[in-house]
Amino acid sequence: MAEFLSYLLPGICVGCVYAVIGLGLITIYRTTGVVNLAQGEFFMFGAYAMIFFAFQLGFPIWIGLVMLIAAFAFLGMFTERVLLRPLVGQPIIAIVLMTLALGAFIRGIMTTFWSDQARAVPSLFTGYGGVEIFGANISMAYFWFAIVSVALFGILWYFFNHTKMGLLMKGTADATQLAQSCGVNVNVMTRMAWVIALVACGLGGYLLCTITGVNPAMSTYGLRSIVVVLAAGLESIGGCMIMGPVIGAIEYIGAGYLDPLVGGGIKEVMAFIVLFFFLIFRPQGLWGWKIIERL
Amino acid sequence: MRWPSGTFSYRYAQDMAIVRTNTQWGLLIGFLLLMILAPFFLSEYLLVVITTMCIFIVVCQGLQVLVGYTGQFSMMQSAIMGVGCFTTGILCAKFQIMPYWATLPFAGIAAGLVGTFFGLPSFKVKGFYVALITICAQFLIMWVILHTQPLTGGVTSIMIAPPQIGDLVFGSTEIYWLCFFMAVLATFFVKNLTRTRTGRAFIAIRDNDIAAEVMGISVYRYKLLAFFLGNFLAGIGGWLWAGFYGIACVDTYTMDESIWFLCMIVVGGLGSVLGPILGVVFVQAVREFGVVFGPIIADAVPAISGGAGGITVGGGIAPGLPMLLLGVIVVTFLVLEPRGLSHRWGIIKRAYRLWPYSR
Repeated sequence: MAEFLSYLLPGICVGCVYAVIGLGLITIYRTTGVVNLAQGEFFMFGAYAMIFFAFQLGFPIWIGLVMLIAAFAFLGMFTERVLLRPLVGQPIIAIVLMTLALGAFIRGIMTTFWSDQARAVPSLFTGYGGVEIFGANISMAYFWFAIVSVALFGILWYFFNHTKMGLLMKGTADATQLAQSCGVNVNVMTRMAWVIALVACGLGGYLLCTITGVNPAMSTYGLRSIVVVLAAGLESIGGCMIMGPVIGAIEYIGAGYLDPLVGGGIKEVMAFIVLFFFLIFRPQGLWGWKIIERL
Repeated sequence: MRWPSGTFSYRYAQDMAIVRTNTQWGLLIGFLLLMILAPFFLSEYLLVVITTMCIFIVVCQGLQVLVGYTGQFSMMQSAIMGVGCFTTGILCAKFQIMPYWATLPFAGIAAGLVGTFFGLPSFKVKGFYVALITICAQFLIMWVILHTQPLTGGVTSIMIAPPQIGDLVFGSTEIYWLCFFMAVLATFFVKNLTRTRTGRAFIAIRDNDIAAEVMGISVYRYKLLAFFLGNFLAGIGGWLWAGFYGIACVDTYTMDESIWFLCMIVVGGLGSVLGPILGVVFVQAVREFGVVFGPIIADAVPAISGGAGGITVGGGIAPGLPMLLLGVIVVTFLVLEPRGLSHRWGIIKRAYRLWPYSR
């Protein structure tokens, strides 16, 4: 039991990270129909930006937070206006390749300026002890993971279901032309989606990376969060929040029990195996919408 | 296709010919002769660069069949190339059951079959989802290669002796000729493939798969065929890589490399046979500049050299520059020239032919 828990709980908490990245992904997808494959890179970039503001420029952390939000809002607007607006109407390969290349570019920036080693991130909180649950020793840090991600999830859920802006954004995603003819400014909606997604992602990245430190190899989290989002269904925020921990748990439990059999490293591919089966048997995900196409 | 004025077709064969005018024949033969004689006047370094370009042209022609003509997004091209390379290594170096030359069909078919396996879900999904499946495939394939230690050597990689015919051991010059020959062959193959019934079916699927199905094209069969052919060529690329570099190593076939391949065909132009050639030459040239200038920039600007300023070694502009270049190239081309270099080349050619009436 203790062994099982010691795999399960870290898995769930890392899964919360996937869910946070996935939330940004869904926000953008629901408004613009673009799946941003660079989301994992933006996530880490939040932590690196904070290293830059707090360590290298020497600002206090609270001012650094404001600068972080401003920088990511600008980044969101820039990405949407300069990089993705020209691709409207082009085949899907253009969008996918653009976001992948954007991710590579951000990784290049991080490698160039901050090296590829793991680095500490200036922290808001202090003191992460361990806590014992059923004989399994779990670091307190993991609970911060969970709390931060659940809080972000709650905010976004409220935004999309109970504010006018959020509902307008959902409407824009469902029927762009219809929304436009009803007087919704689609350009503003698109820009807002990118700003919200990137600010949430950057903040989440910063907060979560204070616990573990950060290194460019964490960009694979982005791809795994896509697994989460697809397994839950691209339209479902709640599903993302459920599937994140589930996928995280599958990864850690799979790694714990299967690694001795196959010689390690199964954590890296577990999520992709799950995704493979999902795409074969239920491509729209558990709570997603099945889109029926017509000629 | 527009031909120079005064070119008339009197027979069907003339209408279908790839090379039409005497000027084109002259230019083609001149170009081939130049490339064949290249080892005698190029330096060793440039020869390596050109040989790598030739190998990548083979791989990218395969990717062009898959992405440019059938519209199936493949992000696993470098892993598939790895399958071809490792198949060659296992057969001719690890177990030594056959000479290098005999492994050619095995490398191609193994790569083709693995690719077709990961193409199977394209029965149910398409577009973005196929991209995700192939991203999965990239990681899964490389993980399997890394973890089947007894077969592939895992992290230790397989060394492959240079190929030979009789007593003639292939040096860099002979390997260059081999790679160039295969690049020409692959280009010719893809060019002709796109003009057959199969190729037209591919294009129909790319343009509108539902309409294609209504027209009586077996979409799934042709998608799988495209996956097989595209990945077969990637396997051949891997075979050439094994012969040229003499090593099958997991570090070569990364996700970034797959993105580079996609970048190459997008830079060259999707849906054109000329595209992969222009794209590979352009992108590889830029990458070589990156390799050369990375350390120079690092020396000139200490802040980003990776060793200074309290930053630990392992970062800096030298390892970061390839990724920066990848981003810059893709963004520039997608925003400013989404149809690629081959489209631009077509515009230039037409303007030349219509001169002085062209704008």
